[in-house]
Amino acid sequence: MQRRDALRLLLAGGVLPALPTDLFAFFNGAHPAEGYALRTLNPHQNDTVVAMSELIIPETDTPGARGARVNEFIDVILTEWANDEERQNFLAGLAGVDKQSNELFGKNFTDASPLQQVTLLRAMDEAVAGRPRRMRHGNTIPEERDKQLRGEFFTVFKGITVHGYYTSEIGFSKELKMKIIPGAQHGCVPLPVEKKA
Amino acid sequence: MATNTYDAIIVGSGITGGWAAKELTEKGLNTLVLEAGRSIVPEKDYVEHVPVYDLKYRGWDNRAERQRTQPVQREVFYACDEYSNKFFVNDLENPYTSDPGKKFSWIRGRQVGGKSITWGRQSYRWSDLDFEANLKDGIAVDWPIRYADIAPWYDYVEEFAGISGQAEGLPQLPDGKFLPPMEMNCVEQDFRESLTKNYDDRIMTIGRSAVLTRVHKGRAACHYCGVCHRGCITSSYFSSLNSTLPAAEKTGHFTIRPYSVVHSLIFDPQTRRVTGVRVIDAQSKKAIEFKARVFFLCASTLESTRILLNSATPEFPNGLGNSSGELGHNLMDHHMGAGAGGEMAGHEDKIPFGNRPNGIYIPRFRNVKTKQKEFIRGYGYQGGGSRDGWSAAASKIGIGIDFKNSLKTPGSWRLGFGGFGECLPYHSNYVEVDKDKLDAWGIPTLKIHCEWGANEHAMSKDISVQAAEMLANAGARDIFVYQDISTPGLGIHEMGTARMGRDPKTSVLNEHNQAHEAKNLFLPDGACMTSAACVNPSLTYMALTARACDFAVSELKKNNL
Repeated sequence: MQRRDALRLLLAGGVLPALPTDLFAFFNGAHPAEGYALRTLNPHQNDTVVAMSELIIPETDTPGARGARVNEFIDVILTEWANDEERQNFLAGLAGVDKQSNELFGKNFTDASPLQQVTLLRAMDEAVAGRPRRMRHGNTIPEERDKQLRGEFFTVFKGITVHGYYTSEIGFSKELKMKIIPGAQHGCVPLPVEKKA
Repeated sequence: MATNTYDAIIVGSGITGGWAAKELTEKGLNTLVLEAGRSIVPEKDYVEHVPVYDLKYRGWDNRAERQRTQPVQREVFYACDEYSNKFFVNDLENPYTSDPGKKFSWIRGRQVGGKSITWGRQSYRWSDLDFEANLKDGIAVDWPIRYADIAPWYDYVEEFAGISGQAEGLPQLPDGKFLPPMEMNCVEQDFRESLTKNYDDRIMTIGRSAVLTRVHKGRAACHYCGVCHRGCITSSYFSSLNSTLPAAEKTGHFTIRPYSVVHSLIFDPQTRRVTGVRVIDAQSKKAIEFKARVFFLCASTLESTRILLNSATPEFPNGLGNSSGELGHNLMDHHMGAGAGGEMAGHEDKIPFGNRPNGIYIPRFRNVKTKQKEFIRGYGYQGGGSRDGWSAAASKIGIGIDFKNSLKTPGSWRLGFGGFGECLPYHSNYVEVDKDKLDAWGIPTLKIHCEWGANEHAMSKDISVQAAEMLANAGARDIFVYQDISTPGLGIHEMGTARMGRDPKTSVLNEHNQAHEAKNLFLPDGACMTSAACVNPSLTYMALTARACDFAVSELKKNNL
């Protein structure tokens, strides 16, 4: 585990005082836990979520959204985090994808061909052209944390997919190779950063 | 009971309580620290290395529960989050009221270490521009001290705490005893040069931060995980838990009692001294009394004042030591919410390394050498440069392999900064106790009356205009200007309500943070502030505390207390 490696490095370098070995015993490990049973998405909705999210972030030399179990994160959020309206909007949005797929291709999204699926998702993506990020300083940013499931369905879906993937261990450690403890600070270094273990 | 008697009692274990504990115990006083909240065990409670994928909601927070129990605290969205909300109070247990349409956001941390666990660590000295301001402007009362009185104490606390920074030789922002500065990134360096070229009255410097850039007094250098407010297992930033409380512990004269909610002080009208403290045990809810020879109120600005207001006697019906009528008045905070950001060109082949827990600082330039027509006093900017990461890319167009691969490379360089503006001490901004509304321990709560005045609003406009202009002059594109003045309190720099002054008729404390009307009572936290300056106040609280402790012990030895 990366954090343990990093801690071992700190210990080896004499940076840390002696620490109890069960320091991180309270960690629950990756969320959701292995063997997670879906609580909100039904099998068809789940298949649709898996197919859509994997098309947004596919497997390359690292696993994609499916491998990172983004669908299970989405289920956790829909079950425990979303309010009734947000949950209904999300599920209605999923049904809307099938509706469009049926109108265009005469079948549900999961039954459409890969090319048909990509075509439909690209059209949805282009229809909700993104807004640029705005940066503020000081703790006065209007609360965005609670609005993750607000807005157009595809914006919400892409947002939660990207968030679920890059905050998974696969996205964070394998895909982006981010380190929790960089160990040093430099104003600027050349890209790509050679990240040392 | 004899075991309830100490030489000194300190209320609170945050920045000032920790300093008072270190100073008084090192000077040999048998000292009791009363902390309202629980103990913190760093190995168990610090969460700075918890990966985001171990959080159930991946940083989106347990929204419904938090909206219920911490609606005020979670306004500090960057720190009261899914990781570290436990370092902020439960709003249901700690109620208060503010006026309709005049919200005040009161942010509190009740645990051993107080808010020193989550503080922003920015550490700046005041100058005589600040200490002389009230006198020159004819506002409120004059500070009873000047820079020369506090300068050696800044030296003293900086040498212990460890402040990294760059000396710049500015009269309005005196240099300190700095550890090596952290590095600015490429766009920050470009901006610093642009500022120096385009303006003769302003510079940009790296933030002066209570984070160690090398080993210091047995504490490790920062390892740049970048999220200090979640704790620090290597004790690399200054907090009571990381620094002052362990020093106090070493003396053998130190006792700390968590779960000790102070109700009020006991005043003896014969001796004119505080003789004890009434405590409610937070767990058993039983009342207990502790006695001492000298008392330090370090409970945080509004909590310290609340204790004094709740310590009324027949002689002091409006709060202990309040013959002046100023106790509770002249509440201040820094106003934020104005600034600008933009995209910076160049350096596409470069990226910052390490999560620097610090930003850049543009020191005050208004009303330093020249005079503004629209407002008095001034402001400083804090901010920084960075490259967009994956979260910014979520709103970009694209899906599939190309989209995924594009997120491996960081996006645009951006630079932005927001102002921290000085707020004037208005008598009409005040707190009073509400005897009908009690907290979870049966203690009367505060009614807070606070709003910004015309000076703050005029300054806020200038903050956003100047920010945008400086960015434009530095070649920034896609400039985003904002001006939405913050809710008072949200600066978490609440100050005043028991001000220092020269005259007992118009102030609560003297030049040594000693109550005019109870010589063995000291109040060195933010409540003592006579004006607010525009820089982050904690370093000044540290210096005032160490100075007040030195005075208190010398007075104790002379039998003057």
